[in-house]
Amino acid sequence: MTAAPPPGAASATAAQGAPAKGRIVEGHEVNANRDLTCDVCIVGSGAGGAVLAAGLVGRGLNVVLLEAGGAHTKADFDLQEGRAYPMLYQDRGTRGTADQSISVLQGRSVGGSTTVNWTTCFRTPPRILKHWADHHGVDGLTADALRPHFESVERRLSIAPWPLERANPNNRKLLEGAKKLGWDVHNTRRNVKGCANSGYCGVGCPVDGKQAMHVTYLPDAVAGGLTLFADCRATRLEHRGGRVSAVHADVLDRATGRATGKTVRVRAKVTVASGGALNTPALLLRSGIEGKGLVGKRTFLHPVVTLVALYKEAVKGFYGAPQSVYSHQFAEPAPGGVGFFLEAAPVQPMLMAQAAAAHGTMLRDTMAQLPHISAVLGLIIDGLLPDETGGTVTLRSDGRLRLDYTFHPAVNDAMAAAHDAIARLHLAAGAERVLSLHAEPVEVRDEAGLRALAAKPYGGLKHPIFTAHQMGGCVMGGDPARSVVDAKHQVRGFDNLYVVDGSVLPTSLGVNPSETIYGLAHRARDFVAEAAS
Amino acid sequence: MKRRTLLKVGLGGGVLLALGGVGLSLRGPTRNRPVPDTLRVLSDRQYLTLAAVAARVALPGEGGPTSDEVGVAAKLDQLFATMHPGDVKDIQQLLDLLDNALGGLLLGGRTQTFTGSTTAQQDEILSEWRTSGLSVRRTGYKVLAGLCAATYHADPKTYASVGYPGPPSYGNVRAAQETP
Ligand SMILES: Cc1cc2nc3c(=O)[nH]c(=O)nc-3n(C[C@H](O)[C@H](O)[C@H](O)COP(=O)(O)OP(=O)(O)OC[C@H]3O[C@@H](n4cnc5c(N)ncnc54)[C@H](O)[C@@H]3O)c2cc1C
Repeated sequence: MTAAPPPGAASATAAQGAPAKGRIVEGHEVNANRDLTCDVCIVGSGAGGAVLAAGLVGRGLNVVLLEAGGAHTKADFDLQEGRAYPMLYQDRGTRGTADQSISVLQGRSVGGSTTVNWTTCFRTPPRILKHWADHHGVDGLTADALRPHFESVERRLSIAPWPLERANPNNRKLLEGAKKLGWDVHNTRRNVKGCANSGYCGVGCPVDGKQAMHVTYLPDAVAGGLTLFADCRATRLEHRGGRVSAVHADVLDRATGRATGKTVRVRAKVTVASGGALNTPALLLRSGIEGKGLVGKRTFLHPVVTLVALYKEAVKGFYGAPQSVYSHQFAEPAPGGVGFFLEAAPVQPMLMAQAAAAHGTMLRDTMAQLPHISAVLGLIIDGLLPDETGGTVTLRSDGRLRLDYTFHPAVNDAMAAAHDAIARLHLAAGAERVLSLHAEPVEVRDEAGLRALAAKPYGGLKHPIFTAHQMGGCVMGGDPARSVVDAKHQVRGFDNLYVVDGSVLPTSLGVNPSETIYGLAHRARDFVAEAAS
Repeated sequence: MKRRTLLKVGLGGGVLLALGGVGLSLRGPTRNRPVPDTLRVLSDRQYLTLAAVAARVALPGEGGPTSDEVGVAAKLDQLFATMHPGDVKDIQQLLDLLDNALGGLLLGGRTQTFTGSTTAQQDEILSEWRTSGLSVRRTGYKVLAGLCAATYHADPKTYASVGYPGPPSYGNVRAAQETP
């Protein structure tokens, strides 16, 4: 049996309304075990998997894509956080490191994290590409080599600067504070078309303004013949002698997340893991593919810290594009140091309450100020120091993934420096006071407050830390002893297994990762297509 | 076994609960709120413990509902029914530990269960867990406080009390988009 859709399968329409040659098959439609053969099987429909799928289908290949999350459209996005996080995020929105020192926001639906991301787009900084070449032996990834890929992706996703006039007041605080302090500050580029400036990117765009994968590359691919199984979780890769012979997957009941008992088996000439950082390493580990002990290692997170800044006037950070301004003032520290960059965050009640990590009067009094809160984030650029190990993905005895993160002392220093910078920035922007989120918070109104802030401890479980950018775990490199995939995304020791997603990044990026992953996936189309033909 | 090791193992493996026969560990929960008959995952005791935690984590703001009115613990029970059983088991063990009088004695020198403590004592226990030198307690705090705070503030009934007008409706925009 080939990848032809079963009778009655939901039909997806192409972006431009042309009848689709392919299908999205939802879990509830799979009433019998399926056994498919195709040219390429891709696991994961996010930034990496979607761009790749469209390119392969465009080259005439027969592609099957398996996605653990559900297929959702704007009609499902009612902008209620209580519904969206369990529906659209990994582990129903409760993912974290094993010790809960870092809360992990990561998407899980058709479109992956792009369905819920905040639309900020950057090309990979040349200094990072140079670092990969110099320290990880990554060949061929230069700004020039990547340019055509970025240009193509930027056209398809309408990536363009977001006018400062449309920045919401929360982002304006970042702009004003940085300007007053003489810091580097700019407007971001965003992947949007017809954006309503609602502010609800993180819970699924209500008007398809965000050019996420489920409204762009995936409909393109389905139009060209892609069969996409939603609610279908790859459990393991069957392999022998360096060849993957089959991908085994469980069909899931969307409501409960439990396996329905039905399975999908895909035998493809080439298999591509695009489950994203954390999940791709976990899939490989479940399949007994350990890459000489390197799979799961070097997982970097851009650990995020923030403070609560209170302004007299209403900021209403819950409305308006979540991120439209950034500062790279502190991105390139002195040798031996770790840098960070500054961006804003949506200030919606559930996310804010979780970020506050408090209880009782402290939580109540913070939340009571919600419309007056501005939230600027410090994102720590981890993974660039030679002795940084970052996070490690392993498996628990019941197969669940486990993430542990080691805080390098320089990362802790960077978190302290980010606290200082964020507090200074808000004071410069006119905040009445800035509160740290330590268990015993520091209230900063002036230099004395900044000194008290500096005296606080920094690190895991000392204050809340988040990540929305998971990178690494199957890192790319030139040295077989230090990398899981080569510069063409091929898993070392395998003829027909590739990884195309954020897990190949050898370090964090110092910028938001989606465009890097789109660009790498666009470049990887040729490598995978060649292997499949 | 050192106290620290015992506690660490206790969270993951239920060792404390295995110490059957110790009177303190058998003390029942205090039933100071009704238990819904719709629970899918939590035992009555775990529900009562979680509801007690939620009540101290999420105090109502001005004019806002209580955590019981929001049904925080019942909503979490429904959420747990859709999560990986392994993740849920960890949370259940945490709740068991919190309402175990022997655990309370070992952890904080108290002989009451969490549900049997006064609200002031419960606040103290939560604060102790938050700032504890034992990372296992800080982890436990983050899990329980995070789940309760998020679930409470995700409920539209709480929006007005924090000055959140709620999300706008895009029905019109969508309708216009659908019109050829
Ligand atoms: C809240 C949030 C905000 C963000 N904001 C930005 C931003 O503004 N700008 C930016 O550049 N980046 C942002 N990001 C990050 C960015 O979206 C991700 O880095 C990017 O989407 C990762 O691409 P990926 O292909 O590696 O994985 P993902 O896009 O996460 O896709 C992986 C997909 O694979 C599926 N999957 C995993 N394992 C399996 C399996 N075994 N079987 C089947 N399916 C599986 C997952 O369910 C998921 O849908 C944000 C992320 C989040 C969560």
